[in-house]
This record gives sequence, C-alpha cells and structure tokens, in this order.
Amino acid sequence: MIMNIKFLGNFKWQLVALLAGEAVLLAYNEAWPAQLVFLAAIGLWARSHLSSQRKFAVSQSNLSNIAATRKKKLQVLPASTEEVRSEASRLINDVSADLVQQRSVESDAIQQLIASFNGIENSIREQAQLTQGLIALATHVDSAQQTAGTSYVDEIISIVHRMAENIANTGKSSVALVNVLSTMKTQIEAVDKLLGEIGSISKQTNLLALNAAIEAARAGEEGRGFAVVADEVRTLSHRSSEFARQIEEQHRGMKHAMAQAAGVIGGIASQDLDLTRGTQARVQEIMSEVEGNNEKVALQLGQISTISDKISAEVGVAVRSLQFEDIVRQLTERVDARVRVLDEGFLVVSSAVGAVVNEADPATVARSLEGARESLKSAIEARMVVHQEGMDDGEIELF
Amino acid sequence: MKKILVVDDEAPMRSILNDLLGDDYEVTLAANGQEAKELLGTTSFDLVITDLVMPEMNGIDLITSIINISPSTKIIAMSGGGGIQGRFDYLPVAQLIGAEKIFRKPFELSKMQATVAQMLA
Repeated sequence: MIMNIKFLGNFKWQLVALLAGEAVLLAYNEAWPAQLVFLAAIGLWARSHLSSQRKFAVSQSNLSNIAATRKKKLQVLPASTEEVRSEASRLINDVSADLVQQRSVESDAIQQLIASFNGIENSIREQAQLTQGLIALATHVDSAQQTAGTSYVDEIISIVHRMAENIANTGKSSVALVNVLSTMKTQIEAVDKLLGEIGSISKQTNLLALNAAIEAARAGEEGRGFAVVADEVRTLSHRSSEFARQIEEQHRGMKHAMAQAAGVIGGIASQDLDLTRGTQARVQEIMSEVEGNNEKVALQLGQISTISDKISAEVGVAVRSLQFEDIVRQLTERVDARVRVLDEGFLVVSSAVGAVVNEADPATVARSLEGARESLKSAIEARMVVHQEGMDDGEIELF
Repeated sequence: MKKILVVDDEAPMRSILNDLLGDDYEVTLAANGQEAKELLGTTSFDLVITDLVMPEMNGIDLITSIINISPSTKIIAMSGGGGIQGRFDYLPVAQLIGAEKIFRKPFELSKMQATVAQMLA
C-alpha cells in the first residue's frame, strides 16, 4: 500500500511538471494575462497539493513506525499472558489442594459427629425406656393391678380406711363400756344410799333393842325372856352394822375400781381425742397429696418422655443432615473439575493471544476459543446436575 | 364474786361465754387445756367450763388434772360431740371421769346460765 502511494505521488509530480511547461509555453507566446492567471492557479494548486503531499508522506512514516512499535510491544503479550495463565494455574492447583484438604477435614469431623449423634440417640432411647418405667412406677400400676383396676395409692387408702374402721369399732366398744360404767356408777350410788339405809336401820334396831333391854330390866323377872330377845336383837343389830360396814368397805373398793376404770376410759378417750383431732382428715389430705404428687410426677415424666422423643427426632434430623458431607464432597469435586476447566480455558485464551500477536489465522484462533467456550459451557451445565440446596427429608438427590 | 375459767380453742365461743357470765362472775379465758392447767396452778376457780376437743391439751386430760389439782372445783364439759362417728362420744366420758354437767353444742345460753347459777349457788 505504501508503494502505491509512492507511485501516485510520482504521477502527480509529472502532472505538475506538465502544467509548468504549459505555463512557460504561454509566457513565450506572450499571453501574459491568461498566462498569469493560469500560473497563479497552478501555483495555488501546486502549493496546496504539495502541502498535503508532505503531510501524507509524514503520516505514512508515522504509521509504519507505530505499527513497528506496536508489534514490538505486542510481542510482550504472549509472555505476559502466559505468566498470568501460569499464576492462575498455580492458584487453581492451590484451590484444588485446599478442596482436598477441606474434604478430608470435613469427612473426619462428620464421621465423629455421626458417631457422637448416634451415641446420643442411643442414650436418649435408653433414657426414654427408663422414663417409661418410671411412669409405670409413678402411677403404681402394673399389668395385674390394671386388670384389678386398683393402684398402690388406692390400696394404701383402703388399708387406712380398714384401720380407721377397726379403730371406730374399738371406739364403739369403748362407748358401750362407758355406758356400762355409767350404769354401774348410778347403781353404786344407789347401793350407797341402800347401805346408808341399812346403817340407819341397824342404828334404829340397836336403839330399839337397847330400849327393849331397858324395858325388860324394868319388868324384872317377867321381863327376863324379853331381855334375852332384846339382847339377841342388839347382837343382830351389831352384826347388821358390821355386815353393812363390810359391804361398805367392799363398796369403796368397787368405787375405787370404778374410778380406775373411768380413768382408763378417760385415758383411751384422751388419746382418741388427740388422734381424732383432724387425724383422719390429715391422712386423707396426705394421701391426696401423695396421689397428687404421683400424678404430677407422672405428668412431668410424661413431659420428659415427650422431650426425649423430640430430642431423638432432632438428633435424627441432625444425623440425616450430616449426610451433607456426601453432597459437599460431590460439590467440591465438581468445583475441582470446574476450576480445571477454567485452567484449560486460561491456556486456550493464552494461546489465542499468542496466535493473534503472531498474526495467525483469525479463523483458527476463533475455533480454538470456541472450543474453550464449549468446555466452559459444559462445566456450567454440569453444575445443574447438583441441585440439592437443603437438607430436608426427601430432598436428597445425589448425582 | 365466784371465779369461772372458760376453756375453748374457739375465740367466738370464749367471747360468747364471757359476755353471758361476765356480769355475774369473774371470768377468765383460756384457749386450750395447757393454758388452763397453768392458770389452775396459780388461781383457785369455783367452776371450769371446758371444751373437749382442743389443741395442746384436750378437755379429758384437763378434767383429770382439775380433779387432781383442785378436787373442789366444779366442772362443766361442753363439746360438739367431736370425733369420728361411731367412736367415743366424749361428753359421757367427761361425765364419767368427773364433769358434773355436760352440754352438747349448740346449746341454749339460758340453760348454761341457769346451770352455772345452780352449781355456784
């Protein structure tokens, strides 16, 4: 192209020379006005044309220089691009190494976590079984008792009731005894009166006998027989008095025994009073409390059992979620593969830059780049295979 | 003025008897048998009107103590019957061991007033 410009430049100079010759010829023929105008026109055209020709010549020179400089500079590009690619490749290798290390660490940790969670799950299962056992104990119901429809608490209440019934029966007997003793007391008091009457009769009899003896003495011999009778009556009176005294003595013994019996009854009644004072109500209250507490314990144990079930379920979810290790491993392997593709892409681009700089066939370079693009596209499409994003049940779909 | 000791763990009952007898007698109040027993150790009462079912010391024990401490003191026992049905009826027991008169709650106040007047005449 530069040669063409040079050729065109020479032709123009020949044209200028022709026109200048024409102007000399006109001057020789003394056609001055026309010659001057013609010369002026030629001069102006030539000046203008020469100026542009000069400029054009300068541009041509500069372009050549720029192209040379640019080519020289572009020669650096392949090396620089290769350096970048090399650095990128090292980086990608590092990423791959990190991914391998990450897989290793994750795998170890997750294996330990799975073992730990399995241990927890087993412990929770055992705990749940123990809790169930405690619930059965707390309700005091075993299978036999369930059949009978009774519980330990019911049995205890029944025993307490039976004891209270026995005590009540004893109480009834004691009441009967109190009544008997009261009757005895009344009768003893009546006997007291009768003994007093006997004493009075004895005294009167003695007095009568004494009077009879006095009257018999007054009667003299005729009254001797009567005196004997009066004496016998006095003797009988003394014997009656003595007999009444002995009865009274026995009676005092009876009264004393009676008072002792009353004292014993009083003691029993006193104990009963203290026992009675809210005792049965308190027993009922205690049994209610025991029953209430048992119900609370059973309820709370039930809650513990429910919590254990929840924990067990949560642990199950956790164990299931730990399967992400498998997914993550596959994902990291995929990342590894993709950065490898990226590495190859860098290589292709680097090669393409070199080829362009070395004025290779653009179509060839384009094909190379198209191949790299296809590889990258394949890598992008491969990502779509793993679409597991959560760890919910049933969402696991491994490739 | 004759001295009466009223023993009952129910404050309203003490108050009722104090109002009933306070004008004619010198009335002292005690809330249980133990308190009454301590008062009996320091003061000589002509009459003790005692409930039977009480904390600290019950009326039966108090009556036994009165008979030992002050045999001349007259005793009236009163009770709502107390206890579990079929067990002791404490009022006859109280009478058996020394209470001169018994009153089953609730009783007519006028009858109590008349009985006290008769016993302390």
